[in-house]
Amino acid sequence: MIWDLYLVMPLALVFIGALFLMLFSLVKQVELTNYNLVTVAFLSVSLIIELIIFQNVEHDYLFETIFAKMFIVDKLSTLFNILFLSGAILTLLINNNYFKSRDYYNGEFFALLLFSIFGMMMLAHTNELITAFISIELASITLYVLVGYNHHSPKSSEAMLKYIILGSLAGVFFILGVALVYGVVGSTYLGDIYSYLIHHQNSDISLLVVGMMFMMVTLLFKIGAAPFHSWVVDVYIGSPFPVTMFMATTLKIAIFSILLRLFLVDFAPIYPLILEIIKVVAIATLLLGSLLAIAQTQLKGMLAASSIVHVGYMLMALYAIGVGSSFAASAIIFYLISYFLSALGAFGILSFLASDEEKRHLSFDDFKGFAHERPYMAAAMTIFMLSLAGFPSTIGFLGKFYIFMSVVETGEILLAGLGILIAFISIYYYFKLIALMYFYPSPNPKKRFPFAISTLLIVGVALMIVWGGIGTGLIPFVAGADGLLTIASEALKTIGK
Amino acid sequence: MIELSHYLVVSGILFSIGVVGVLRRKNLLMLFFATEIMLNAANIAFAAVSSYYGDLSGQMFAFFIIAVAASEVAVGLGLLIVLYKKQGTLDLDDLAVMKG
Amino acid sequence: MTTHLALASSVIFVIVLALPILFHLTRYVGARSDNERKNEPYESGVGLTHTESFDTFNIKFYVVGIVFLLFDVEVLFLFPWAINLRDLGLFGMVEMFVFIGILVAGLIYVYRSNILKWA
Repeated sequence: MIWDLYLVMPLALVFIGALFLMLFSLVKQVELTNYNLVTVAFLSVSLIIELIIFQNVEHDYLFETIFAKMFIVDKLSTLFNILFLSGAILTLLINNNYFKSRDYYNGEFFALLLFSIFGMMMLAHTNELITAFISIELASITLYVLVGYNHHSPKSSEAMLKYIILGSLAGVFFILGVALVYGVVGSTYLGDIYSYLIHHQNSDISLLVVGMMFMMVTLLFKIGAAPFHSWVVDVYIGSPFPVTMFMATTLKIAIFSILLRLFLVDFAPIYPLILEIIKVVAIATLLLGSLLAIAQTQLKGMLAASSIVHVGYMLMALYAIGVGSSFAASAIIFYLISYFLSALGAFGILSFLASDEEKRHLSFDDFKGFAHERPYMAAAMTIFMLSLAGFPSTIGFLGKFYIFMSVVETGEILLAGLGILIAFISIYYYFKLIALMYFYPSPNPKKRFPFAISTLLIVGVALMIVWGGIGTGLIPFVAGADGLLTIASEALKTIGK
Repeated sequence: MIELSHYLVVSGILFSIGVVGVLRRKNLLMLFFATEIMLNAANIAFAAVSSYYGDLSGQMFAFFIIAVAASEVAVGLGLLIVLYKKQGTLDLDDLAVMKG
Repeated sequence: MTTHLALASSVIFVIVLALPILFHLTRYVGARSDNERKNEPYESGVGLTHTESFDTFNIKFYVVGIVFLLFDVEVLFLFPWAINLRDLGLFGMVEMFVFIGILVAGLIYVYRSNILKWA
């Protein structure tokens, strides 16, 4: 019981923090920075406990006598929780300036953000499909509100409108899929579905497969994979910067946490039936995402479209898991971490600029001669772009390398070749920005590097990306990129069936 | 004799009515109606399966789905008020400006 | 076990093909009429009593309606809990108090944001 209470602490802290901030937001004379600091404090304590848990936990169920096996606590869920929490902390701190520069932020914003993180953390712990549905909805309903938070801008409201209609439509597919699975198996626990599939290998399971397909529809929608990717660019452009940042990094990881768990545990016996679909979806995501990214004129839109392409790479690795690659699952987690860092930094710079200057749109042209105006920021932006493109000596390169290796390991040379081709195409739209920053004269005089928590964190993230790329070879005895891969594969071992 | 499959087919039909509603209707309020219909289709399936297996947890799931549906609609209605105050219409064709 | 296959294919068939086509056909098959009388709300055979049905109400009604919707639905969870109260024991009691506590926090928020004031 005490052990369970200890395991539930991070979740409970985030939830209590959300309730506290909800009530605290009624006190009108509090400054916005204080709300931000309180939120970060709750998240940090939760993160520290989560880090300690990661060392000790193997495979546990939360309050097994009461909740049965609904909530699982293993290294995988803890690792994902660490990612959510650090993502949220970085998002909040980097956007500190941005919050102050806009008048529509208030205490409720932080309460909603915490509720969303609570939903994501529940999602990582879930071992049962209804719990998964409720957590997905908790995470997304709060995000619907956050997307439309800028109530002055019609674009923001429209993004919310699109997101809420398509999101709830997609969510319903998940619940119908669960109903069909429940109809066949008679239980919604992940382990039960697996054992049903193992014991009924010769019987007819089409209804179960249809149910699982419906569930896949929702998950593919939420990560923005190919046939369901049309909302991504509009919603990302329309929502405020902190929310875009949060969605692009943290929400994507959250959905992958349940996708990986489902794929590794439940879908294992029916890989032959669904792998072709995954392959087609991955290829379509890569191609359509690239086309969208090339067509964008706004930087935010380009980052949004390129996030679709990154999902395509991860789906490629998901396919490789099914074909039998040994380290594709850890490659996905590593790629998530590398994308998380790069995208966080890139969006962070955009949001810092948007708060510092009155540039609302931040199109490519706004960056002409940026390197002469702010050399340090431009250098950091270059690092993020290189990492997103997968340039060697950054963490993004290693992420792509592991994914392609896992695909090659399964013998799918053509698929890996397509991935590399797409990576070369992506150089076009990432390097366009770098070229614009360095090869044009600046209209404005040089500015000093502004020392603030946001900028320092951005530089820190940039250093982490470089360290993840080359640090492994240089510094012995310190867990670098390979260490992350080891941690990921260790976490995957505890998943159990 | 009405069996489990009949219920599931009813739920499938309701679900597709909802899908068609979302695709064809142009009024925002009607879109929320349609998603509610789809959620309730899933509820029927859950209740039927629950009674088929004699397992009460299915009915509990239906409760949870109702609660989730209510919160989704609450957020949707909030958005609806904001949009109507600003634009004076709930027609989707007038509301959508961005295309991507 | 071919029933599963039949069921699965019928569900897929119904959802993907039959119904959309059927709904689409309704646009072309059958008479279409649209006049003023048809669009009036039916009120026990009596003609329209007052103004249009799309009259605007005070915005307070909507907000209170939304808040009512939320709290109303949460009561749903009390019923299964009340039936199983003896079996759940102390933990069930504590659990429900936590749940109600969360709802009360929401109520305090609503109350202090002056949503319930009619002035």
